[in-house]
Amino acid sequence: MPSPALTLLTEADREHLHEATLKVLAETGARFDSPVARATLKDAGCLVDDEAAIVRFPPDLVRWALSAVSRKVVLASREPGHDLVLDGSRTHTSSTGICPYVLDIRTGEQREPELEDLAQIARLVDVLPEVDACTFSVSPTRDVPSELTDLASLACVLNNTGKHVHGQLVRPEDVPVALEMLRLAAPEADLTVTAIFSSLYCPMSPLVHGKAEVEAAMAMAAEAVPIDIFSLPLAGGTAPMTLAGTIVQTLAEEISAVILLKLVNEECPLVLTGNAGALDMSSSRYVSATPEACLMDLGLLEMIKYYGAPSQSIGFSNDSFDIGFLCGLESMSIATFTWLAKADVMTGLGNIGGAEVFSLAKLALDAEAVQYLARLHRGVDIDEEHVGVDVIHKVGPCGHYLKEKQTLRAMRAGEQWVPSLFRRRSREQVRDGSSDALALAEQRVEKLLAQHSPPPLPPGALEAIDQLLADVGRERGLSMDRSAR
Amino acid sequence: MIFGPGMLESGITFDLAQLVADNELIAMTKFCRRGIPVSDATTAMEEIMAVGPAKHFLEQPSTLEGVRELSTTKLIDREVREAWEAAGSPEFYEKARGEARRILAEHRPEPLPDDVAEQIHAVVVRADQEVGVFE
Repeated sequence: MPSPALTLLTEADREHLHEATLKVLAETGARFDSPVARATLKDAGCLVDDEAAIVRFPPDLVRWALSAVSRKVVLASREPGHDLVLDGSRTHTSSTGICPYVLDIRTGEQREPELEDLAQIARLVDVLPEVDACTFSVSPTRDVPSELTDLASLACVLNNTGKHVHGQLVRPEDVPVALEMLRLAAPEADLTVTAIFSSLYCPMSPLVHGKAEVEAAMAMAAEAVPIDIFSLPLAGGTAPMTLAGTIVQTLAEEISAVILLKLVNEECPLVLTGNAGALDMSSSRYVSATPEACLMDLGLLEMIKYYGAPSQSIGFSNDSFDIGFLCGLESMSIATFTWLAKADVMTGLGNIGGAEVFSLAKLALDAEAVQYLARLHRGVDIDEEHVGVDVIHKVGPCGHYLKEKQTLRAMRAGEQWVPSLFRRRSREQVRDGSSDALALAEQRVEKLLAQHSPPPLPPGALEAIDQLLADVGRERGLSMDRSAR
Repeated sequence: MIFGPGMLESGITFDLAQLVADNELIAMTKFCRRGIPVSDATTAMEEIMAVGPAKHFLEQPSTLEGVRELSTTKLIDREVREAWEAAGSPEFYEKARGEARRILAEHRPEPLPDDVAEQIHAVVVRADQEVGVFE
């Protein structure tokens, strides 16, 4: 079935960008603040300047690491039936991460998030069929000490959704505790085969790998936890102003992490990310949904595909401050680019202002937009039934199709997507506000959260996870106001 | 040709503010159509190598040159939040309405030459007479 797709680069462009990336990796290299990481890379034949912490990569090692990346990655779920199979056949979705603010659904106030906000997000992800995985979408800074944020977030999301948990661990000492939590949540699963958790790893542009972050990633790679490597360059600030230059540097940053993690464990599943923003030169603001960002994301996604690796990007990003016309426009533009570029995972759902603020209502609206994109993906069926020359002949000039069986069959088969929040209502309903998509989304969120209970953890697991968290808090001299529930 | 700027309700209603908003979208779309030029110059190899890890590109020559190549917006807000709030948190559609009003108040298209306008008017008068609008 013909399905729309979007491409940007020629074969010569891709080779040019690849050669440029190899050159940056070989001559500029990247800074690794971790001596352990540098030692691993040195043993594999990299040129290491320990004083400057710079590692330079021989092209053969780069090629080996890229060839070791598996095209297929399965991000599993605690509840059966929700695995994400990243093999190029479809785009999966994930709530955005990791916003420093949340929009309170009851008061409309923008405020610092707490653990209950993350619990609500996870429960909403659990019930929305269009959202496949839950990211640590907000950082619960209001009621959790920063040293416990990641572990408390993991415990909270595990307890509130049966879907795949897409989080972040930036402290190496958190990794064994997180693995213990995962074993408690899914005791039947062999976590090296069925990974119910995957983690972000973010190099810092330009070309830096922080000590704690990279050592946490190495510890996860050793246990075959899937890792999505996520550079976030700002063209003109932390990356070259030129779009092609930013693509090259981003690839160099992500591939330098691929090499290290593949040396730690060749079996470690990896996902690369095609997501670049820009520094707005008049306001000095990070912008994520400009035409330049769309182009860079598309170029990066094509390069990741060229390398035969699974890909991720942010759809539904925007540079708006509220949920209005501009927010919808930018979110859908960049989501359509990502979707038509056939990224394996599209994160970003629920975000306002370049992942500055998380909104439950925006998550519901984005989920509805995913239905639209899924209809695009299904494309146009071209067969005897769908072309239907006989029916056209029967109806003829000046007739209508309302009474045709083909109309009824196609309607039942979903030939036309029927939205529920983006209602196609009458002018009167628009005037009286009863078709306002945002108001309808808020109502849907309230109703779903009141009705839905996520699948429970195995008996005793929640208490054990809470205890684990409390023990870690005590060891680190920290206390939390509330449990992981 | 892409048809439809200014359209609401699948073309049942025309909205001047929507036309102004669509104009901005057309500019962004045209920008995307330019694609990404890939060459030794645009990959900025020398600068990536000169800047190296953990620095910034603000002082690089291509950054200054590149500023002129960036997409620019009139209605799409790229201000920081504080500046947006100080301006009264303007909504995109309201800005488009304001811009439509400003254009109507200020913009005067180049008029037709007098003789051309007269000839066209004469055609209209003749047509009106032929169909009986005027005696």
